[in-house]
Amino acid sequence: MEKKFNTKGIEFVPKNAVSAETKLKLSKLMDEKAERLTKLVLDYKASFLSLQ
Amino acid sequence: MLNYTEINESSTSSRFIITTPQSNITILAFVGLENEKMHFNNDFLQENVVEMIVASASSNSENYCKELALTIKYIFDFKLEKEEKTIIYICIPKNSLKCQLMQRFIESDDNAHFNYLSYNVEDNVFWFFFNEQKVSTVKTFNSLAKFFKDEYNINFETRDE
Repeated sequence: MEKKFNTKGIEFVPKNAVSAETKLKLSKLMDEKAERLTKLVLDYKASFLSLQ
Repeated sequence: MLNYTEINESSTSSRFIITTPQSNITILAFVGLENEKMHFNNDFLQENVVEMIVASASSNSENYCKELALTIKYIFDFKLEKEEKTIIYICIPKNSLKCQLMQRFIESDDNAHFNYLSYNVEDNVFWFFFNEQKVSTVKTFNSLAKFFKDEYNINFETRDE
């Protein structure tokens, strides 16, 4: 039987507690990601409207 | 499978516009990091990682119907199968709809040569998917371990089931 993808993936967790500085960096990363997502949708809508 | 249109933006970035029968639009984008603020400080990762972004362009709330999930998975698989050394990266909040979608992809996948590394940090999951026939698991693992140590000062261990 063919081996499944999910039997091979490796999941990791931090060995130690995550510092406050790291939490802040991660929060910033997620905020930037949300901004990119919003921009992607706005760019699409702008290009779609320009074709109307 | 749903209809989609591909828009190639550069050699590393592309967008797919997916339309559901109800005319809801979902944008699936694979974005090279050269145009993004994110930087791995590692040539191997910087050159080969593309970020996967899924966004709904419709006013309806985010909803991944079966056909939409199948279509995203089809494009995802094609990309990993076709492209040299591509590592698909996605970082999403745990327990979100997108997180559930990725779990479904993993559980249903039957491509024996696809592999992934996932890093659970606080409320987020960083996933890195790649084709083992084109990308070294060891090199990816070592590069990511160094990245997380340098960038976030985190050492990881495997999750005990």
